[in-house]
Amino acid sequence: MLFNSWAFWVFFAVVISVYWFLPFRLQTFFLLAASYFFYGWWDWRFLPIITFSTFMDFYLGVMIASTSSEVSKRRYVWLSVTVNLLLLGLFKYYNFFSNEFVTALNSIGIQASLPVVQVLLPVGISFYTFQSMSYIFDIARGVTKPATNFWNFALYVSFFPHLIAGPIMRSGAKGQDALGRGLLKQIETPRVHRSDDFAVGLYYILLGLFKKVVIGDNMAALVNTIFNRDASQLTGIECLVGIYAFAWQIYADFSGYSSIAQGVARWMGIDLMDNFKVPYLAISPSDFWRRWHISLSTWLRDYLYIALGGNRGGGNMVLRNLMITMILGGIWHGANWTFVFWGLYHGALLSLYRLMGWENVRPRSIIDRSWRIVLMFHLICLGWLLFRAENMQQVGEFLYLMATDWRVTPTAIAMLGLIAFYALPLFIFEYWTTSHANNLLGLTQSPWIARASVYAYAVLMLIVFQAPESHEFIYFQF
Amino acid sequence: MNSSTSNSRSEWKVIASVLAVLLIGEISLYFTENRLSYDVQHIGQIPAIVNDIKQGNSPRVLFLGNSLTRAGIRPDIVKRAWAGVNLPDATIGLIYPDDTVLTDWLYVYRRFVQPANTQLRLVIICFANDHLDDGPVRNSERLGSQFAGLSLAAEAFSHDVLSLSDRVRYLLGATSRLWANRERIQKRVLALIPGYQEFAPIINDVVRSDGQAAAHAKPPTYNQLARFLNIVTSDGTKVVFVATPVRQPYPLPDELYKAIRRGGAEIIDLRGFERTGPGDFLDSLHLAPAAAERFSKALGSALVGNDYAHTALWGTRLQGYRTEPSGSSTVGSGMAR
Repeated sequence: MLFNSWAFWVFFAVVISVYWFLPFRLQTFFLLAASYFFYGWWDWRFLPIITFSTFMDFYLGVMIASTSSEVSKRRYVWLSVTVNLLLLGLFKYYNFFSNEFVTALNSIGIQASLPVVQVLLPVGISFYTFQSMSYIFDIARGVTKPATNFWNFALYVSFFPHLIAGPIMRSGAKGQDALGRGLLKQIETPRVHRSDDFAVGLYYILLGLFKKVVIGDNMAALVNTIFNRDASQLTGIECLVGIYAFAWQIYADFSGYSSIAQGVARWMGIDLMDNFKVPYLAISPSDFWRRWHISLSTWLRDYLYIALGGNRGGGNMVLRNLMITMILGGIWHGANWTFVFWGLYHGALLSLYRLMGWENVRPRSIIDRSWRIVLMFHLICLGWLLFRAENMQQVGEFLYLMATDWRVTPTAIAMLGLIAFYALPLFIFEYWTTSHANNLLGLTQSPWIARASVYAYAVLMLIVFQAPESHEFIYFQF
Repeated sequence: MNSSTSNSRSEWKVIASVLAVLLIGEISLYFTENRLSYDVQHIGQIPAIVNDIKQGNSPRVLFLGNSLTRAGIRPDIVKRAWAGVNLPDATIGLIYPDDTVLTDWLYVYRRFVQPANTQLRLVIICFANDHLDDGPVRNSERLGSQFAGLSLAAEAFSHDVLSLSDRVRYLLGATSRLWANRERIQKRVLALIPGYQEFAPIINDVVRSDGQAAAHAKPPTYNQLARFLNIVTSDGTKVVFVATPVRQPYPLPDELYKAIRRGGAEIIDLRGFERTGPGDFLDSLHLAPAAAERFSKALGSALVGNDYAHTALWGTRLQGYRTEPSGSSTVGSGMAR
């Protein structure tokens, strides 16, 4: 049930119609049932896995909170981490690592074979696993308490708007106010109708659908045209424009999903955190990670980077921590060497900027800021090549073409025109709205006529400029 | 928050304004729809085409298809091929909405041809690739708006438009001109982007090959074809399918031959008609004018030389007639198996 499908909107219309007529306690049970129905719609065989993970982490959370022994606490935390990562590893990484292991053995003359696990990757497993783990870590650190009952925790894990592709919500621990209202805390509190819930929800949903349907899917057609072609049929400029298109595809696709999730949740009186803040306006790698997939980057920062030592321990230790964090962040996206190298590349970028002291240099003028934005965008795009390429051979071919073949072709011109037509209005809008407010909600605080104009444009584009093919959200595969 | 910013009341003003814009779009299209494309004009003319066939002399023939028919069939040349062997004149009508397949043709027949009681002798369908295969409806909004309409919605929903998404799109297409014409408006606007006209076929090929790769994962079936033949032949009309040449060769599965035979129809294989080079095609699908002339002549001769078609058109079985040599051995060799 994709957010950009009619089936989802029929489902949601039924859910919200019933939801607001129910008393608070029943709302929780009803939303939990709806969330499991939503998840089971993908494949009912995924349900036992999420149910098991939920049971385990709920009871481990209670046990961690009830013991005063640090050793026991640590044991329970390790149990949760081990089982969660085993589940993730089995479904997501087993075949990749076993293949690589066998290849390595074969290369040194040892003939070996390991069984292949033919299983579907449960959608959203990376997201809800990380969310459950953050809950366990926060209880162990003593910054939050366990859920008041199992049903609230089950809904916290499975709340359908963000179940498949985030944002990875925190429970609502102390010191996490910058990440918005914790989801578990909201679930445990009776909903209150806010006067702007409808307007803000509508805005998020419309913006998200526009990003996904108009930009993401149309960019996908361009990206596939370039990346599915033999390199001998491409020029370097076409490769570059294909990567630009992917930069907009993945941003529009993923931030579109997050936006729709925020809107749908908001209509149910629940706030989900902002997962993106105009990432292509970043002026440095750390600035980019403060704007891109914020729920994952803050998770990695809080539970991995800081656990490794963070900024403590001097230069080399910090660089080591950065590299480990980013490589694991890359692997989180999937079992492929391209993701490993993507993480490695971003770790190297962060380290380089830190070593050279460029992170702390504030832009002196608009021109200074502009060229740093353009430079950063192109550095990010280089990373997207690693992210999107089918394999490292394709990465090499694209890099070679971009270095040697600068022929401008009608295909490249048309693609640039299409990127400008679809993505430039969004970029201008997001620049404008973030310059007026701390987030993307600037428009909701504008006069109604401004909203009407923007919404009319978005709706007309949604009707007329749908892509020839509708695609799944990219992050569903993670 | 002041009164002009978002609250429930001002949000209803916003929604009302958006609806007003959509209404203006609907009204504008009501008056300007025909200028969007030649295809829209052609679809608008279908009732008149059917009426012209009805008013014409027997035998009456309908070419029903898509742009393969538009680019490949020259009715004057087909008739000339018949006149060349002293066969009586016929009335030929052509219906060829762009980018359509068997499901669309079925509903064009059901909605426009069948109720007019045209007493057709023969329906000729020029096809290629997977045009006759069972498969999901390619364009539900066009089916709803232009081919089946609300009047045949129940039939479409029970046989062809099965998913919720497709049904919603069908109904939107049937009720909104903006929705029904969105692809055409899109093409007109995007054509303003430099290089788009050359780039669009490349994108289409990628999208099409993605779809074909998925479709070819399992062998094709022909239940829809059987249904179409049942409807048309029940009206006393014969059907000939013509395998039409396109740039890339394509297979004709045995199962297709069997389905056509079972349905009481005929297939003529002209995939291998005489080619002179790459100039025979305007693009990957459509014949260039000179090649279309040769193809039409070859088809005219093939219809004369085919027992089934000859009987359908002129009421007598073929006796000792041989097709006029068209310089192409492939026409003869490509006759029905």
